[in-house]
Amino acid sequence: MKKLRPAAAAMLLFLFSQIAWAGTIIGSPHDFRKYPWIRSGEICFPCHVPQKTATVPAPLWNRELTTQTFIMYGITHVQPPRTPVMSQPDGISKKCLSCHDGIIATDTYGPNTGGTAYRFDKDYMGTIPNNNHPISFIYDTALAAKDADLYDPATKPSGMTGSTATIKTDMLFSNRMECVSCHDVHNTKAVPGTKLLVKYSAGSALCLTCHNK
Amino acid sequence: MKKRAFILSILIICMGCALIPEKPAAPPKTIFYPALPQQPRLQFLQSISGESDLGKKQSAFHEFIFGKRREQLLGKPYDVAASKGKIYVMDRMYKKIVILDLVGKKMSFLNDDGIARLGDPAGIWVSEEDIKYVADMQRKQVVAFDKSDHFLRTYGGPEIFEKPVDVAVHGKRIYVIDMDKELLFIMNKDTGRVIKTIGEKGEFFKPSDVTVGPSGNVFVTDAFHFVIKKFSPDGKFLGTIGFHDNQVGGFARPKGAAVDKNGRLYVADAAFENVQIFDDQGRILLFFGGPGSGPGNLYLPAGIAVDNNNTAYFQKFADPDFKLEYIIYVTNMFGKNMLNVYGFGHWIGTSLPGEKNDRP
Repeated sequence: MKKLRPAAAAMLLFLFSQIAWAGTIIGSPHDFRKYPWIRSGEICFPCHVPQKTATVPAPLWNRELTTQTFIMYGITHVQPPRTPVMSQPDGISKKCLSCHDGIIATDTYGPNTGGTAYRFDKDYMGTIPNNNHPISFIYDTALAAKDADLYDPATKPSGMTGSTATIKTDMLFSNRMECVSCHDVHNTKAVPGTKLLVKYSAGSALCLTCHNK
Repeated sequence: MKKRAFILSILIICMGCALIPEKPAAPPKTIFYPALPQQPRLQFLQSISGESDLGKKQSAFHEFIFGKRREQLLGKPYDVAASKGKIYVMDRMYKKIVILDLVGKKMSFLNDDGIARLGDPAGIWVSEEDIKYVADMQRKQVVAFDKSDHFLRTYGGPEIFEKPVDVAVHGKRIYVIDMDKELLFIMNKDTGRVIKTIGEKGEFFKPSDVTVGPSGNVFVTDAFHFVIKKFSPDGKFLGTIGFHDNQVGGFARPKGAAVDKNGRLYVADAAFENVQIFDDQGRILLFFGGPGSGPGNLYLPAGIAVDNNNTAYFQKFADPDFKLEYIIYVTNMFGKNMLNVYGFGHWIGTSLPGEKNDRP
């Protein structure tokens, strides 16, 4: 038993180091600071556009314009429940799709860049009736009632580390499944060593959160 | 007498049926940018998502017998170009070039059998002579098709390109932007030889699009510097347009760009879901589109093209008080309106209050 202690301690240290990395976008696949173009420390800019300029000139052909600020993807930070466009990627998933469009970020995850194994276009990701990786569809109690293979998201716990809340609270956005239901882009709750997944995918645990198989 | 009365009554009944007015369709709302009473510069004309949007209607009889024709729609349009009578859409879902034939009112795929097989097309340019140039990421080449849609030749290869994502042609020069090498290649259109490369010092980060204006100036979408960079035809750096900001004139996710005959630059931004127009000094003139799924709105736009060849075809969609000068196409990666058509023009109606009819 005594001999095992150093080994156990080493393992614990290793595990803790992994968890430390899991807590931040730094070092994650969306940390673009290794590229020279990004000014020091401004890790947020590729996705969160700054408002830097104090005043901008009004467009010469529309001098009566009063609002000068653009809203990204039609989403405001205080998101009112707006009517989503059915069967189209909507809301928060648009943020992912503007880069993961098959050309800018073709197949870039982890150590793999520029490959073709995992494509964000027709075959691998899409909207219903795409079977492989659908997004932006409503997943609620009504859907679960129609499909015995789905758990009710309003009652089933998400099982995410440190949470006792339901799938609906932890993983859905306005009752819709989006890219961020499973992928944590900020890497604050992602499991290290996965594709920024919010839960371990070993033994299909992530899939089985919602699918009752 | 009775027989005549009978026939007459039948006729009257039939006339009565014919005279029951059909519920009139609500007239489509005219979308001007900027909206009236300001001087309109652009009008949203039409969205094209499938063959039926080209005007060929299924006859009521045909529909009665065979049912409503289910048509193939555009998949995921990314880039667009045009020539006389045709719009070419580079479609990322089909991995093919879709040809929208405005005259024949048909939608078809550009035949890329055999050596012309497209692997992973990313950008398209069509010259005045209707030669199609397609940047292909998998082939690491630009593939050219002649005006009869036959394979013509290729440019480059794995020894030159890593990830060619867009192409533009002007005079005897071909411009290819390589996103992985982060270089702009200037090549000779006849020999295929590389004349020059721009960006060796790491000036670009993940440049995604290239376009050329009528004067030969080259515009590169330097995607992760969030600006458009302008070069002379020989590759001399002339300046930047736009900045990284969420305000008018700024970019968050700039993608396709196009230049009109007056040197005005159109840039599509996938994050703001709009197109901004800059004059030849880089000053912001207007923006249009905006997020949403209504007429004229954009949905993760990607590609944009200016078309001087098909203005007459689209005039029928324009307001009678708006004279079209040229057409602008914008592709939407998602949404039900796949290819938006806008017309640039000027107001010919009664004088508008405020500004005179000046046109910078």
